[in-house]
Amino acid sequence: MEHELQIELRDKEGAVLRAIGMVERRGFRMQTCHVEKPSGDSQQMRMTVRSARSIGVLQRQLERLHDVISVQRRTPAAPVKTVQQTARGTAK
Amino acid sequence: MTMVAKSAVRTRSGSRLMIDALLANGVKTLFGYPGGAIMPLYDALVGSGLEHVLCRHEQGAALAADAYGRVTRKAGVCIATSGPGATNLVTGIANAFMDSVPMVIITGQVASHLQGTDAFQEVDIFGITLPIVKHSYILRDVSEITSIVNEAFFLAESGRPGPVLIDFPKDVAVAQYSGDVDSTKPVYEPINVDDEGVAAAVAALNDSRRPLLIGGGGIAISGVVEEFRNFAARCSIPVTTTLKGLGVIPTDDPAFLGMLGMHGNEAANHAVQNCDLLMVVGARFDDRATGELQKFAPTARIVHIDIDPAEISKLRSANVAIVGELGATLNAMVEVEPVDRHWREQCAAWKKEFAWRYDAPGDGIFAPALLRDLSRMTEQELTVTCDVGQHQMWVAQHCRFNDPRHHLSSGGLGTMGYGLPAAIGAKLANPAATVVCVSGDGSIMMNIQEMATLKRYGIDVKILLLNNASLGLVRQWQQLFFGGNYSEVDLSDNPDFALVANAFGMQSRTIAQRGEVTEALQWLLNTEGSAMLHVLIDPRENVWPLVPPGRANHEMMRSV
Repeated sequence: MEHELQIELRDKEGAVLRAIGMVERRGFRMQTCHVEKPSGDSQQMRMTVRSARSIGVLQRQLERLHDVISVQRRTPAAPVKTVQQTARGTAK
Repeated sequence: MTMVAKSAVRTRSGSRLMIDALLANGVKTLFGYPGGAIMPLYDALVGSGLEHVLCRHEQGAALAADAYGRVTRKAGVCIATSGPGATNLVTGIANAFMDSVPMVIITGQVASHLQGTDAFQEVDIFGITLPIVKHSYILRDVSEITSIVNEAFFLAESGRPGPVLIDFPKDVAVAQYSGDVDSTKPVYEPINVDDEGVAAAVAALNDSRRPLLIGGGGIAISGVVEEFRNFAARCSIPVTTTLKGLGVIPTDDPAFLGMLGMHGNEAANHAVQNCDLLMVVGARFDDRATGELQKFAPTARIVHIDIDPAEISKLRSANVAIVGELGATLNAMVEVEPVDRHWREQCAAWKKEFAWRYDAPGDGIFAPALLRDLSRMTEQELTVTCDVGQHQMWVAQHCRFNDPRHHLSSGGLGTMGYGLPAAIGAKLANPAATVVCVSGDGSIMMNIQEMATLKRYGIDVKILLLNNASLGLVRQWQQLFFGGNYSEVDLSDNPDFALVANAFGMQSRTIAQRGEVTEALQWLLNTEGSAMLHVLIDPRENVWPLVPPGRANHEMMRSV
């Protein structure tokens, strides 16, 4: 299944490599990837990935990276009951 | 984030700033090995007040720091130079990553103008370690040192802990700095208890007739053993643990069914396969624990409690998932009802039926019985470090643990060579502990040079070496699953390990008969300083029971 991800990263050394590495090591094939630095201290990545694995799990794996500010996906994954959204950012 | 101070200070080198930042983060002991690019830091180390332990291989330094971190729950620190020094740390970093151990690693790096030129001892350790660190930095500016070190310790120790690497170029290490130092230290903000999740978990527990509790390594990491035990007692629930969870409930507790998984106790595995609710606390459904995942706990609803959202439904979908602090979450589960008596009696019956047996025939030394006796010989519980292989599984099965930090084992990575450096780290972290390294003849050779570290610092570590003259667990699998085609597992040309120990200034004894065991164990524990008991065991002995690959946990082999 194909998914589209939009990832906001801190503009730090290795941030892009870390995110791409996470996607590939966790079993997703990257179809497209575009990175730009619009302004300020962040970078924007847009990528299309393909895998039979859960995109929701990949999203949470990306979110726990220290340099990742946010991850948004276009294709919905099955909701996980009672996972606290507040965990992001403090439980990394 | 809390602003602590921002002040002008005297002119200091980058290395001095690094030392001061380590001290400000509470570091007392660090493990390492000097070399070219890290020499400025070693120069600043002299007279700094930091205790540096010179290991004899960088891997030994990283693994010692790992154990130091497990015992203290503070980041263990290791240092190495660039190039081969840094790459030799990699196994230890991966070990800490896989087992969620707090660690800060400082690697020397060639000067900035040489980076990217294939300079002498230049290697991209930042890139090499990206998949096995929680986070990493390359120091680019001397003014950043204090704030980056503070953040590195924060990340290593907070949330789900892990290793954080700081690459330290030589020019930054020697640069002089007299500007403001930002000594801000991040402050961890605990996650609020998920009341909705707690209510759902309690309801699921109270609705179930056959619930089972799994304790994982996260309980020791979070320091919530007491909260876990109180919760288990509140609902009288049967308990099993993962390898890293051993000790979260006392081995002798009636509710404890033993470890689950590939070499777990059959009682625990039967309970898993028959339960209707599995409450998993601080564990991650590792394949060695679950066996064939599709057949794992087939009739169970899952309640998964973990601090890491990324572990939720990674391998097994959770019916109720709670992301949060384990202790606060367990404490919030008050309205629980006692578990059905018939289920508890069934679990107790399995526990009795599948109790370990020690009546092996013959006069040879039966390692499981020896390890059972060892762990019950002292009033103060031993701290046992393991290597990887058959002896590691026998320790997990037969030693008694009342504290998970008394059992240091390489769970995720399975690092042969972990045991001896881990014993060094554990002893320095807690000098009052009696530390025994249980190793095998394959594993001990992986980091045997650390015997020199024992001698150099007079570190009192006892080595119990189970020698079956082979790579026992690989041999066992070749016997069972590769048609007896034994390939490169014979180690019958081992050196005389007792003499090797003597050469490193250590007393040693060798035993081969069952009748010698009790007196020899007493000798080992009563000998002043480090010592080795070299135990010759039958090369044909296997670890039982065993869940074969592709099978469910209840389909255990008990013999050939």
